[in-house]
Amino acid sequence: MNFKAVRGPIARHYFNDNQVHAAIATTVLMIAAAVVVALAPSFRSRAGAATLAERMPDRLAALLGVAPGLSFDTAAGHLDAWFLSLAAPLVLCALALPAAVRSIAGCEATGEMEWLAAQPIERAQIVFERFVAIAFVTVQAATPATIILVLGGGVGGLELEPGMVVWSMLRVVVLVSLLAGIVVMVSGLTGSLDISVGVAIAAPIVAFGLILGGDSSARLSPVRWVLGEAPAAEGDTTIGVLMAVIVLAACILIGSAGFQRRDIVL
Amino acid sequence: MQPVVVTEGLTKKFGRTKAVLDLDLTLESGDYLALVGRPDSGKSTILHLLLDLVHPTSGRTRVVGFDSTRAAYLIRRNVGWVPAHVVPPRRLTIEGWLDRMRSYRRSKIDSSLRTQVIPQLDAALTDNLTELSPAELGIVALVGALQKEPELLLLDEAIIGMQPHEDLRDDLVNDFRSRGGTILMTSRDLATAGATADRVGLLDSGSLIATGTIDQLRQLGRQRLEIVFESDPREDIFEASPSVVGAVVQGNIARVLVHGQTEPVVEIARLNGAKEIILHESGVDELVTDLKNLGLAS
Repeated sequence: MNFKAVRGPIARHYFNDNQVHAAIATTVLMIAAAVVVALAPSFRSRAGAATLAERMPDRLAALLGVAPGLSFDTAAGHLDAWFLSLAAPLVLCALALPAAVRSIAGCEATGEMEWLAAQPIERAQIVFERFVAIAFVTVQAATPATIILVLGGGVGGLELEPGMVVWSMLRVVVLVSLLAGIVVMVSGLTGSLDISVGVAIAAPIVAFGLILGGDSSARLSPVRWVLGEAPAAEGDTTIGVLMAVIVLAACILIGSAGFQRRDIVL
Repeated sequence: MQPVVVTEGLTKKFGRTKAVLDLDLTLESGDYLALVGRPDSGKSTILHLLLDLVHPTSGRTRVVGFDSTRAAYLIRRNVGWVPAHVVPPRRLTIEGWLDRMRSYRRSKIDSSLRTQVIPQLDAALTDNLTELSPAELGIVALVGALQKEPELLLLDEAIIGMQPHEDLRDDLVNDFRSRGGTILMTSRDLATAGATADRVGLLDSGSLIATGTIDQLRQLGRQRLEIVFESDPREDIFEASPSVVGAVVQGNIARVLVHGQTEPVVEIARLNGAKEIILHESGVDELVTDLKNLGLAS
């Protein structure tokens, strides 16, 4: 696949370089979305589904995006709990964060950066375009699952508003892009593969771990900023999304500046 | 016409390690200079400084008319680069990789070079890069560097790596030179560098300690002659020659250490019935050590 919408040569090449991983993530997400849609009627009609959230520990409910008062037997609660709050972000993280590690530090560790950085391109362009490629790959992987949720929602009786599903998935993509942006920043600043891998592992653990720490720590989590307490049920996190985009832009700028100023690890 | 490469007081330190020290180097258009030195003598770092892959600690560098710290992008448009270890992106074909190099330059490039050269590697443009040997990868990287018609070609330890295809390599390099191109290469091997480049710069601990043709450099150091005579020669046979630093005679074999011209020594040997004269050419280690011992290098 050669996606022409990714205009810059570096972005286009990096987008193509990540297609194998993207195909795996896309398949996993499509299967997960299909399963969520297929199981919706039987799960929601099961006795106790309405009160499952109430019987669940508060922190687990928060992690699954089941807001207080929201039930698993509502369409939004079902989608949040089984797909949007945890499964979809983690699958997309498994695609985007390794790509973020490979974008700069991984490329330096293999020796490929010595050749790439000697081409007539600015280093900031490498950081920016490779991040754009990661964001596009994430959107690409999320799109088929979104289509399944939109089209299959009616068939499976979920009765979800297409706009809400798309907006929720878009916010998941923003969240994953933010975490990837943090990894790209560290990768650009340090060039260290070990540190970049460490941050790629720590970023989602911290982001989702803060949700488990109670309300006060959850407010610090980018997961809460972007997805809210329950992404499908509580759709309005526009300010949080804007905050995430601003932080993301700052990460890419800092990563670009750091990469520009330092020596390339050879 | 301004020089293609000018460095003035170029210094690069990595922490406390001095990789390049106060380097003054000038390359005019059409020059072919080989920087030769032991491992970690600063050869590759100099090339990396010219391309701004690493930033100088102090000093000034101008390459193809541009300051390397201010206009590295413009330098890289006009400089071809073949690194010591070619690591291409994964899962690409030869053509895909060459196309990538072309796309970065964002200008029209004559692709006839690839169609002429790649078949000579017994490979097709559609072959995957993983199927190529390191030497073949080196040739493909050289094609990629030359296809953008650079003013300057930088070859980092690449010449020896391409030796299985040395005829093809030499054809490409000679064609580039015939069009007025300038080459700066690095090597650990003095003989190969001397055989390919016009001039050799000898590096030690980041400093350029001597520059000249390979013969001029060898004469600066000590040369080792092994001479086999018809019969046992006199022990003081070489005393009259001022260029002989030391001589050991064992039976009909004399081992002679010469500083300077070897011709007078060879003449003496011939007059005294030498049947075989072998010149043991100095390697980088011996030459650097000789120059230091003779006080010709710091």
